[in-house]
Amino acid sequence: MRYLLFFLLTLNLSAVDAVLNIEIDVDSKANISIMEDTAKAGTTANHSKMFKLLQTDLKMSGHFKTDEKLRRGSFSDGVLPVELHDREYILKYSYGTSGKDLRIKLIRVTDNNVVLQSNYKVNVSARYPFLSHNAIVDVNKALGYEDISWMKRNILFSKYISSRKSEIWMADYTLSFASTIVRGGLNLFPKWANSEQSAFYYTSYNKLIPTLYKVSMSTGSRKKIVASEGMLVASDVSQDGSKILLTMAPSGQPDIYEYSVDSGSKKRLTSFRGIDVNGKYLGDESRIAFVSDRTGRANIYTKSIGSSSVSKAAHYGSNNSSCDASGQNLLYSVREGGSNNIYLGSANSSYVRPLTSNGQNQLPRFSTDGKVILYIKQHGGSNSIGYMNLATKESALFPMLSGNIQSIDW
Amino acid sequence: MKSKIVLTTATIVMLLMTGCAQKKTISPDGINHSTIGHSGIGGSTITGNNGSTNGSTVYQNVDPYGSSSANGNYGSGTYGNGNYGNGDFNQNGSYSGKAIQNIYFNVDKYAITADKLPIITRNANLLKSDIRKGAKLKIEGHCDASGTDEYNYALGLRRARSAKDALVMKGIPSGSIALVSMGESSPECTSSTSSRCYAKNRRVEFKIVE
Repeated sequence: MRYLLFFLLTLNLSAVDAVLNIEIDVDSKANISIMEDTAKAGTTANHSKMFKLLQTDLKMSGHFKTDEKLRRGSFSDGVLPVELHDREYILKYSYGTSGKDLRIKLIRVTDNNVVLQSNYKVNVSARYPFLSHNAIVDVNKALGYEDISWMKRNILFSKYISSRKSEIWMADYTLSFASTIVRGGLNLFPKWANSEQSAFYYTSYNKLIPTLYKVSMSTGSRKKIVASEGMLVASDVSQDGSKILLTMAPSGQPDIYEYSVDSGSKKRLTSFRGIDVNGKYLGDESRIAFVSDRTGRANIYTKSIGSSSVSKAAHYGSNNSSCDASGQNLLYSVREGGSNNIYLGSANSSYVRPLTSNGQNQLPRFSTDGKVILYIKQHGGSNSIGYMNLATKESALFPMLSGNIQSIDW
Repeated sequence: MKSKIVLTTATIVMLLMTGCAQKKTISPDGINHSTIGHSGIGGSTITGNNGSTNGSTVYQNVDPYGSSSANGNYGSGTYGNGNYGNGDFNQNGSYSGKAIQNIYFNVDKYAITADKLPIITRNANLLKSDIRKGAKLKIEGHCDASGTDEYNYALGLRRARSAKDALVMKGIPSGSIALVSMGESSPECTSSTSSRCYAKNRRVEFKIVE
């Protein structure tokens, strides 16, 4: 048989999503072994985790079949072990004793050629997972596969920790690095302010009315953007960072506004008397997708900015309360039976495809390149962050130790 | 004969198409056993940030926004450790000694139904004298945790707005009422995720704030 069935790459075995079983030609995945530098092995607490991270990253790229065995050898010696002669590639790595630097060599076994040699460092050892993520993004690129830069991005999320208290956290996609960056009171709806992730917006409930702040990652300073009674959310940011789609509710009426960051001017985009929220830019940003209850229950709609006419965009489900957009593609969560499932759709066709099939799956988010989706899976009172690579079909779940996620961005 | 050629050609084309499928371009080269274990590192490196420059290794910093301090800018609560203040907003407010009642809602609903109007009337009567003396009323809208971020907060807000509109109809001045949605951040019931527990969380609360 040319084709084999592969199992989910998931850490949560209690709910199997049928749609995630994939068929892929086994010949298309390159066999790779990972070899740790004997001279640096086990020198910090994170050393045992680095191997696992490299393995996870290689698998998530969708292009590699990794050897499960942790091997050790000389990083500098050019002689390859005889038992690895049937591999296609060997990834040698040397993870420094400071825990803050990583050297890699990608070797093509057939001709013992070093295809890639790269060195990475981070400022604090807690950020060590980004050494692995950056290395594997480069390994992937060196072999001519499509870009997987999504893997090295920072995840930003808010998490309830107790009644009326939530913190904003930053993490890598595997949650191996996770750190609080805003705490104290109720802090909600964090949203990256630009594609470089050099600043983010969030809503604070710690003044008299909900207030939107912008925080600079490089200086740590915080700047007030706008305040609005009732509720206030930065739902989406334009590609160039100059405009924000805000949900605001003066007089208790939640609507979507387009806010100009430079001038502070606001343009109201929706006017229905019920709920209009969760605006997301489509395509060239002349149109938006959004969630509205204008027909009695939450559903997904699109409209052009400046026009009053609205079109229904979700062609499945009658209770769809969350959406994201990338180009003309849509992600939305559908409440059906006792489950919440994620569906992939289109703003300009009737295309629809389920991405999950059971359980509680919410807060779907596209990666910036639209090729990978992130979502939150809730089970038994705890949350996991799930990923699905729409191109390679790889998927994974990473559990959170505690707390419920309020909102997430990446 | 002609039909045989057509059939054979079609079969070959079909087999070829099946064989092509969706394979990736990378496939293994033949293994040359004689090179393994005998040659040193050969070939050229492809990317920069590699190897030695005048004897010292150059590392690409993949951590552009962290500082060199122990936690960097990613440290616990560096941007806020309660230093931004809890303000008046997050305080509960209170209305001690009087039976101001919450109002509860069905799933996805935010209208004040007829059976809830007596609660509105009773609350309005209890609140009137303090409001006349200048007190402000804050109405908080709440949701259960089954929904998703923004929509849930909007649902909470519309519940608060419905309660405000109903109170205004009973003579409470609109300008003395502030609205806020707490979403699912402050559940009344946390014991389980049952529908009974969730029903206690879909509510509005009325608080006097000075």
